[in-house]
Amino acid sequence: MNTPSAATAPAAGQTSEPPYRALPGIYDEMTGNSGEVAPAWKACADWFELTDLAVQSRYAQKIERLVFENFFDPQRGRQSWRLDLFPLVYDSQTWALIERAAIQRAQLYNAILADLYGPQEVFSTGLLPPALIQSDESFLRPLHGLVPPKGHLTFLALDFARDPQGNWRIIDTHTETPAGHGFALANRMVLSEVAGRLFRRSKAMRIGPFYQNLINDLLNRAGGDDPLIAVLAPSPGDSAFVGHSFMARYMRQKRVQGSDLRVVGNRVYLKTIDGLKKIDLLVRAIEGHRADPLELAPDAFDGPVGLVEACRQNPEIMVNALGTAVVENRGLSGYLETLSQHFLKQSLIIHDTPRLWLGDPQAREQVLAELDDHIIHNAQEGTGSPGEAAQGRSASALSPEGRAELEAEIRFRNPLLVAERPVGFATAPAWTPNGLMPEHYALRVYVSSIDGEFQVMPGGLALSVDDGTTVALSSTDARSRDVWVVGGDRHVPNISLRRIAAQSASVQRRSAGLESRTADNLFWLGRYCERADGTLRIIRQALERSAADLLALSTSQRPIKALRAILERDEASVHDLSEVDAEVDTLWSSLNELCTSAERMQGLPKIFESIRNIAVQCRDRLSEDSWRVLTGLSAERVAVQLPAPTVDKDALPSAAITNALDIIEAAEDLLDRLGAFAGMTHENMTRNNGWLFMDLGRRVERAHQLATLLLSLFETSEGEDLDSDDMFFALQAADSYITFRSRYRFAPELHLVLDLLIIDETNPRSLAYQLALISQHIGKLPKSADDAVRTPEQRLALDLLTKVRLADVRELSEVTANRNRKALVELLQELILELPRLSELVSRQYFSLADEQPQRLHFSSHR
Amino acid sequence: MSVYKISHRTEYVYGSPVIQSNHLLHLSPRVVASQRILSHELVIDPELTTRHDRVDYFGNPTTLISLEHEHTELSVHSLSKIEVQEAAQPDFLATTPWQDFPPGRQALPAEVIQFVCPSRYAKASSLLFEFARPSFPNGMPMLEGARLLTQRIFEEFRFDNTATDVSTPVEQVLEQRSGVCQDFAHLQIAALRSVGLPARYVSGYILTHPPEGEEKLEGTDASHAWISVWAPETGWVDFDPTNNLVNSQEHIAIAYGRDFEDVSPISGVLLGGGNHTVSVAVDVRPQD
Repeated sequence: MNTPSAATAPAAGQTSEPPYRALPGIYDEMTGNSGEVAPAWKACADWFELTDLAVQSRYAQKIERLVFENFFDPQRGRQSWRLDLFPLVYDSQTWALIERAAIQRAQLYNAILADLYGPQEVFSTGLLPPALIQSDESFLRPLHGLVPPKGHLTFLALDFARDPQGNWRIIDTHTETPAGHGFALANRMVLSEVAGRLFRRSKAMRIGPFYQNLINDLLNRAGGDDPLIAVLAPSPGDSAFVGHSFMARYMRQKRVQGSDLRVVGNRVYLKTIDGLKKIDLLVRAIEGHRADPLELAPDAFDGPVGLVEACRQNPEIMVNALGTAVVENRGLSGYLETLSQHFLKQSLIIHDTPRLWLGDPQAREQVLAELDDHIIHNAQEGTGSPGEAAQGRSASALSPEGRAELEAEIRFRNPLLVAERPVGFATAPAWTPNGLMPEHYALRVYVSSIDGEFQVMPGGLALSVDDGTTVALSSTDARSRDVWVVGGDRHVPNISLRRIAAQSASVQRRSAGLESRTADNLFWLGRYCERADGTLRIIRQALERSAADLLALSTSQRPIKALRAILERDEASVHDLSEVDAEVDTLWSSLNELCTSAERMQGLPKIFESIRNIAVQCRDRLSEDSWRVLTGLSAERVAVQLPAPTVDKDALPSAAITNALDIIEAAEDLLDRLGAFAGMTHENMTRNNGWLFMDLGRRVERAHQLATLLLSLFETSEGEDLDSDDMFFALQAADSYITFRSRYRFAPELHLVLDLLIIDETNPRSLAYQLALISQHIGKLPKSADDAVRTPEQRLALDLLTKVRLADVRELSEVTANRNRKALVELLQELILELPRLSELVSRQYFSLADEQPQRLHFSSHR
Repeated sequence: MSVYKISHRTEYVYGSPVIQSNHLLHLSPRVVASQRILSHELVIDPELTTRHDRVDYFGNPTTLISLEHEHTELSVHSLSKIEVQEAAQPDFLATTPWQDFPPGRQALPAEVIQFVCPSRYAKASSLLFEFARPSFPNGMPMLEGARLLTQRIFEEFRFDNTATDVSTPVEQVLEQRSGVCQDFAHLQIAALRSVGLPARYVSGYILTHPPEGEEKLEGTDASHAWISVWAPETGWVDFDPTNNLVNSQEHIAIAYGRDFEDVSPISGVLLGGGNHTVSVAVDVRPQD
């Protein structure tokens, strides 16, 4: 995990900023070739000159924090994204050139795609060698003959760069997915928050209207009064996930993944808790070849089975048609000028970087003869995430074996390779703690088809690049910059999308159908949060008890059993704890496992990991505050306080007593956070189905935890004194001690404790309270029926509630043969077994079922 | 000239109900110069929700079917009557020497060039080039080289239907020197692409003969795979590395593709279904 680091702290003793000096002989965006600050940069340059470096550092640190919040990807456990405090500024004249070139490219690629997936004149006329396209796996043959009514391209991004003399070239094209939009949007939001006033003073153009137009166009395409639009993105494990989900959130559209969808009768449907909902428009943000396991890559399930045929039958359903990745092929570079002449009757405004396709025999010979001067790249990159382009291979840097391998590859895989000569990059100022420094950069520009015309987003994303080795937009440390276009004379409305979205909205109380996957996630978020809460409470109580033990105040070992009970908990069975060795070092080893084991399902690291994963998937349903609380949960805090495992067994008690207070404090800190989240959901979440599922999860988990705790403590009687200790323990672990004290002035008696913790429906920590709410919640779910014919989960919930309501506390606390409490054990064991079954029934009814995961039939009868 | 009646039945039995299934079929015979389709029908049970017949990128008839109601069995039965004409045996020695191919960048049709390009199961590599090379000494006419390679695979590789599965890579087939017709076809295609020649995968049927004096049993034939290679002088010529045959009249072609994946007779995706069993019965009967 990255946290704001010392990198942004100013160097000691530095107070004023040295003047900016560009690299000699290299074109710089701020100072051009002249060394003077260009007018477009003046507002920024002045601000940075007049602002104290220490203040600037504070801004830079704020950016780091905001970037961390926006880009941190708990799934990948890293956040390598960085945003510069200094923007990259273009005047309107330069931008107009970029705009014209980008739009020309969009038109050209659209024409090429229409031809490749149609008549293929480019082959018959000799404009393009067929092997270039036919070797490319992203040319999707099943899509041949499908003509999207509004053209193939809806989103594309182009990577521009200037050479050291200041001449423009295009180094890469991204037509496959809108990956990268999310990064540009998040950068702009972060920088506006920190440097909003400077942004306005610079009169830079806003990007909100661009997206608003895009959304309006999508709404128009979808048609109808309240169309269901879904952004089909990869699942959270994918590197593009963060960017896509950010874009979907910003555009206020549902993000869905393949398993959320089902194609029925050639239409695409979303699985919701109310059943299947027809999708009016699908915005594709997955790679085309992974979109349909039936007709495309057989092992990829990013899209639903049958999607290709659904698109053939209803081509208007998909925005960003399948198959667009083929024009990303870098081998096209050398053919683009003739293709532009052919399709557009124009010359290219800005050319690609000099590049040779190695499928061409002449080019191959030339490159093999001068291998050291070239960098070899794959023709097809396969990722649209900014900065993640693979580094090319340079023969001069290879070992003799590596070189031989490269030569063999050029011989046998040549249609899949291109060779480039490094051209070098111009620079732009980058902020450092010591002032502005020139850095080589490349620029990503975004184009979208809106109302049948291509429009360029007035802004974008710049990345620092390593000069020399880099030809594509690869950047190892991903230092990015926001791009400002200033001095445009067009009307720039001072509104962003956040506000516009509200204008056309009418009052709605119910949100659109809750996706089954989200319901599932919210249910488990409730369960995991409650599980963490319960576990931490028992840890705290056990430690307090243990500290007392060591002062020889008590000798009951059952709290340790309670800890083991949590640790050993297995949803399918009731664990027999009579054999547990309840020594003090067992307490510490249990504690250690609970706080550090990454494998234990019931361990805190696993629970917190699950919470973070769900938070990522449900981010559009969580407030910023909730997101911060949930992603900040970590078992580390407790784990660092544990005595080292190397501590000698005899020294353990004294080490433990010193640490116990610190551990308790760390546990309480986590409990506060969990409490904060519980409070936020309680206070801030509307009581819709999403809330119902989350609370249902909470209640099921709390009931299960409490039943487990009570069973481990009171299964057998250990004599009055010890039982009495354990009653205090139970009351405190269940946060009900104060209530008990206010009701009864004397030492706890078991039947009174059990009444409060099991039967009292006014106690929000009692079993009956949980079961009553479970029953109530289930009754409100969409598939619940009237009283006459209850669904199985309704019946089970009611059955459990009734059993608890009818229980007799005197009977429960009665000690029978072998010091056992038979009635109590029976009741609790039933709950421990039946609650997981209830959870299972709810899953089966409302969530994507495990057995609904598509299964590929793969066999060959060719013998 | 021969006429064949072909029956190809595939039956799935699922361990638990299938909620929805979609299948892609390459079972209907394509139009081929040396063949005439006298009749063809697909009989599918249970009833389908949707069925779309189309012609794929390679010119093969394909059928997409979906069953969107619960089912526990599926039977797909393809019945065809096809006439196969005798094909001329081309003069292999008169074809272009392999090193002179391709004869110039623009001269080849795009539909031929795509079969030189790598595909999922048949990619050029230096290993396969080394394997092919003994059949392609300098100056060897391309189809004569292909014929020698066919013969080598037939002689040097053992037929073993337990050694490989549907996705065994050709490198492994080369290593273990055994496999089934699909493996031999992929191996030969990849080897030919490694020396720069266009080769495609042919899916179809072959007439089998019962052992001397025995009656032919029903359903014991198999769907079969072989390859064809293109030369400027001859067009496409068929080679069967499993049986060491060239342009045989006992082969009935159904579909062409770059490799198995393009022409898999039946492939599908299920929701539900649990464990399943599949049985295939093929019967090729010569008509008098």
